[in-house]
Amino acid sequence: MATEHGGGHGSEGGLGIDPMHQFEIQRLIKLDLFGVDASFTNSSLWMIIGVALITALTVWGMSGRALVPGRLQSVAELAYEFVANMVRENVGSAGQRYFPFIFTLFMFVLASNMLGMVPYSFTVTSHIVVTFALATVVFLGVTVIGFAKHGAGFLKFFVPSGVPVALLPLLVVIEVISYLTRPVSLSVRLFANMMAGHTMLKVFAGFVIGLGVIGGWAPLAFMVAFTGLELLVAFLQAYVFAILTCIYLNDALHMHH
Amino acid sequence: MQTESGGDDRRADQGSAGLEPDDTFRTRLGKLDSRLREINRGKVVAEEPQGRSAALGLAFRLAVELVAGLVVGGGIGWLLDYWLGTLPIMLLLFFGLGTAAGILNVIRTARQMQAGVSTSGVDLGPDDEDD
Repeated sequence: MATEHGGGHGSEGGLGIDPMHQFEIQRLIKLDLFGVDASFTNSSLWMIIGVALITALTVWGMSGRALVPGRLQSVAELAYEFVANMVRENVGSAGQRYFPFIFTLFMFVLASNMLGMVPYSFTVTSHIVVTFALATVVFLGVTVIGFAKHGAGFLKFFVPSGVPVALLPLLVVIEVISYLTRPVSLSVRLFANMMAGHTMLKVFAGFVIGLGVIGGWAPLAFMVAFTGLELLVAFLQAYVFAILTCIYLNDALHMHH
Repeated sequence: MQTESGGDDRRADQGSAGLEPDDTFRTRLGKLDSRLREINRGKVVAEEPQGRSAALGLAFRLAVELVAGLVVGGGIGWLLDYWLGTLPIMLLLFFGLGTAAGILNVIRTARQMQAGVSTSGVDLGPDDEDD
């Protein structure tokens, strides 16, 4: 009932395909909390599916605790070791405390990106609200960790060493702005990659239909290759998001650029 | 060509197997090492297209870094103007500072990429070899 405008887009035929339709938020269960629209949307649904899949992989996959792992356990162990190595290499031993957070972040972004590759699904990470919220959590968390660890000394992070005093005010302002760009670049990178890729896929899928049986094979071949590239991008962007979190965490813990 | 040399190795090993096992083992190891290196050299050429898409990712990362500096700088300037009521001054000033911050970020990111912490390395193999 809530998905009134969900159907019918295929019946228009020809090039009447809307590549942006896939990003539309649809309220599945309408919910109003004190004047705030807290409806359960398709975005919420796919977030829950992602979290459920990760939980299933880690809890159910590891339930056997076999010495020689099966398929699911192998995947779970692989993911664990991949993130553990990433944290160890980029943050060092001090970062092991924050491993659960980075693992959760990486798995959530990865699951969201990968689920977005399933036809008729919704890509949670193609909305900047979602990625900006994630990036803000990282940014605020890292800043709080920096101040908790070094106290007011963390402010030295914004003072570059070995510059003349006359230039210092200007450089400090630039450093602070540079620090504030972190959540923006972190979130825009993920959201733009996901949205651009999925739009491209839909546009070229429209070409296949528009050109028909005769001319549609060229865009179809491109689609196959591009789907492979999109899978790579989906993984790579989750990896970039996690590794940049590690780098920011390392900055906060060890205070050097 | 490779199979030929491989056959030679085997014959040589069989001939001197009983005399100096340590030495033959070492020479075989050395040969294996050089052959592996040759194979890997071929692989680098084969992986060129994937390297290109990774390069696109790096370029995109740098571009986002620069634009983020501009946006944040401009945003701060506009907010300050909004509060202080000095419309063009702060916006212009912080737009310039934001540009500087963006360029600073680009330089830093490029330096990180060169140091090998880059996003291009999906497999962390090369890092291990360097260290």
